[in-house]
Amino acid sequence: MKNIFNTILFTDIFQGLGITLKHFFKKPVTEMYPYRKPVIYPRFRGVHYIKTNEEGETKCVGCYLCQAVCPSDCIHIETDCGPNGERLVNKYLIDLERCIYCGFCEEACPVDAIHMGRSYDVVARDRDDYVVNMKFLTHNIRRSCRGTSSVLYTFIHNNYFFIIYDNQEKSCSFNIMDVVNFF
Amino acid sequence: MVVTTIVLVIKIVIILIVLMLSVAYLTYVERKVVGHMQQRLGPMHVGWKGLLQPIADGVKLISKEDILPSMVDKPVYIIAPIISFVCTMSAFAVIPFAGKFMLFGTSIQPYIADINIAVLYFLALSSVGGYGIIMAGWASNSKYALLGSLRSSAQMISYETAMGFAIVGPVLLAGSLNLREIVEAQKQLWFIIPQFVAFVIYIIAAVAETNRVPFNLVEAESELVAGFHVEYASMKFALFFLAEYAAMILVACVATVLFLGGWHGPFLPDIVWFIIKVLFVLFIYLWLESTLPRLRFDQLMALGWKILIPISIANVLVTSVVVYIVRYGSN
Repeated sequence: MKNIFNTILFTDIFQGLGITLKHFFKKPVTEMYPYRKPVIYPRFRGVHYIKTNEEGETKCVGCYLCQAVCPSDCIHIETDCGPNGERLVNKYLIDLERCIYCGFCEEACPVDAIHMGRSYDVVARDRDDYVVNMKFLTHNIRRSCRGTSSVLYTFIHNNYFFIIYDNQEKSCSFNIMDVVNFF
Repeated sequence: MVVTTIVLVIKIVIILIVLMLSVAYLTYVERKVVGHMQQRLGPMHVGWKGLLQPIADGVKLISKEDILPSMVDKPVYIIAPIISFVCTMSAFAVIPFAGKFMLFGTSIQPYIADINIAVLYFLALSSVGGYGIIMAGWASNSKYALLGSLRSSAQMISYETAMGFAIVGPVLLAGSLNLREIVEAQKQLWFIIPQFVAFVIYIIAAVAETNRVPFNLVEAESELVAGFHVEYASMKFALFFLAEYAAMILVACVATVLFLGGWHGPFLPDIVWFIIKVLFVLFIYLWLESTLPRLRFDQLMALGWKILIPISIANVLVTSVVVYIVRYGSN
């Protein structure tokens, strides 16, 4: 009996109409991505950076733990013996294209040097450009631009790191503010 | 005589321009409403909040190459979109948009023609418009187009009957086939109240008549690519597109005139009430579109023949008996 009642009065259809009308007044979930930066959550793992001490030297001691723990084998370290018998990091390369951003290197580091950053939009025109070195990883400007909303996007080209800021007055024009040579 | 002609031409030009613009912006409203019902934003890039999107679409369609496929039936292929477009547009001639008003000391009727068989004229032209679809499907020489137009003809036959019977209700109450007189008869009581069943049937049949969701089997994207206009491009496609959206506005106008009291309403000017009511009916369309899935073909036929037509005939019967008793019962 209830079934017939429902069929005659189209209750199912009205239920559906009610749901669509409810959603009509909800706030759209669309992100206006290139124009407005999305919210980066605090635990997001983006492109790495390496911390420095007060003198601006890298905190990395070249222990090879991150290289050993890296599941995608994208960290390459070469060390040398310094004048006072300490270990010097000659070469520290991360292939950003191979990296799966798992954050194991951050966990493994005994001296709190390597960290996962918050930038996700580092792009390059060449595959070779994605292999970044210590200078790229430790550079202050790169670290300062992490997650700030004024940075529109960043890219690497011929060992230069470009940071493109959003021109706040005119939303469509771009300002190239910082170019960092990390070669 | 000359003045009357000039006034007539001005009225036609105004109505055509407003109509074309509202057809263009109906696509914008459709995309916005359906988008927001899916919690998207709809068009946002061209102009402020995407307001120039319909104009960009129009410019794009006009600047496209006009393709004439090699195996088509040329004259029929070219005439088909014109028939669809002209029929839909000329049906607007009888729609009374507002009551008479005075301008520069002369009385002006804000509609083009005031003929005494306006309801029949509307029904006839909306049926002839369907020929455009059938001819397009046949002339295109493509299986998708042909299947689409076959479905269209079947759909038209089954739903036109129900629509005609539904319209008989208000016509009986008003005692006239003239749309202006039907509106004037609704001054006290809108016909949606005594004729609610007819109104629901009319809305369902009108959705089917204009090939909108959930009755858009004619242009079912998932099975028939685009249905009858697969082979059309450029301005010919644009004509079908305009005709389809103009037909939506047309049936909304007729629904307003027959059931929602036309231009009657308190406080606001006539034309504003008319536009509000038409927009309300169009919103119902878009609301249905974003809610319901497409019907299967046999379900469509069953709904038309087994449900809508019997109910509409019963409605006509009851209405005529009641009208007879009320009008001639005393003597």
